[in-house]
Amino acid sequence: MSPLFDRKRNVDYAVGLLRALLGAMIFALPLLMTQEMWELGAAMDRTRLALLLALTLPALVALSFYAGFEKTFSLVDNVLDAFAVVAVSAISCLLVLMVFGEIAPGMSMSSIAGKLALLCFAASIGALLANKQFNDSGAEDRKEERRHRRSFFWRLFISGVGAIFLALNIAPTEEIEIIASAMPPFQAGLLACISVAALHVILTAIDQEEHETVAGRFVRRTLSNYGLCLVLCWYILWSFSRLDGMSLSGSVERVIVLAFPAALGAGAARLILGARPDE
Amino acid sequence: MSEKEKTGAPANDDATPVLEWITGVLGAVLFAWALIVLTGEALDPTSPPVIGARVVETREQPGGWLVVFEARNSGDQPAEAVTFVVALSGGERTAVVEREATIDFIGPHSVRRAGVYFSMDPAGREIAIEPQGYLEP
Repeated sequence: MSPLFDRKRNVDYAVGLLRALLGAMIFALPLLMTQEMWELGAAMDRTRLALLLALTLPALVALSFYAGFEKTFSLVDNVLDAFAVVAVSAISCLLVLMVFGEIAPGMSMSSIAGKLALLCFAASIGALLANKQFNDSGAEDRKEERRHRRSFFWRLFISGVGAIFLALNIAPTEEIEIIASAMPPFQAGLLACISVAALHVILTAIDQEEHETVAGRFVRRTLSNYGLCLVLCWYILWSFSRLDGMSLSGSVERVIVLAFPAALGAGAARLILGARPDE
Repeated sequence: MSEKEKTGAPANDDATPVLEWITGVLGAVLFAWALIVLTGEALDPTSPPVIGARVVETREQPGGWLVVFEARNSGDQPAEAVTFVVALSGGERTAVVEREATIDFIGPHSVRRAGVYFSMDPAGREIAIEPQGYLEP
């Protein structure tokens, strides 16, 4: 029988899709049940949303390579899996939003596309991480992945995924603006220091590297991760038009506030992805 | 995929199950659709919110009457905190009775429903609904 129609392969893949669906819902439900996300999907600047959607695809392909919901061996496999999680995420988000009445007859195509594009991003990450969360494939697989995990850029990429995941849950809310405007500049600076310290403690605790000094680890890992968090938080807030018309100091304060949860997400990313402290 | 897992050999495209191709193509179509819709709108000049409203139904309830109306935003941009004044006039009483209602959010080319309460029967009277303003989200 052609491998294309092999029953066992197709059944295995269907099980993987169900796992992806579960992962998508667990990651995206908090956002699916947030009013600000519905409104942002309909109201967000279309150029910025289209850019966010376009950037989602290469990120998903890379994440599929690292932690897809099934094992992949080629670029075609990874691209197919990235599109597959887009399908699973879009359909599941569509159904949930229809049940909630947030997608209904009479709504414009643009509003529907906007809501799905925005919510699919978080759901797709969850769907791709489903394999790590619900199907730990054992020591052999972990050995296979160690080579990638040791790479500086892969670690940075995974930290970025963790940062985006946590920041996305908070960025749409008004609390970022409220907290930032209530803080004097020195408190914002203090929050940045706390974020860096927390990130350093988490990274040190979960990911000990031999032959690396504390200072080396701090500069190479902690500061690079925090810098990435700042850039990602700026991009998310800019995408959501939360920095429009703001002064530079006001923008920086908002970015620092959002970078606090993002830093925790970046630090814990490898835990979220199912990594072991000894790896 | 199970066979590939067992062998650990690099896969060729033929080894990809048909279900993977179907879901992959479906995802690609959805992705392209969303990107085309959003890019198309980004390139088009947009009009500000255009808010209109019409009465959908009136219903007697304990202690009064409910007037349900439908607000439509036919503009290209969304509107937040849209306020309406619903005025009931005519009939035996000459005074105009007004109620206010606020709809949190109306997306572009979208409709939302709201309701206001009156202590008198709206039947035989004129109901006027006037949008007062909105906030940019």
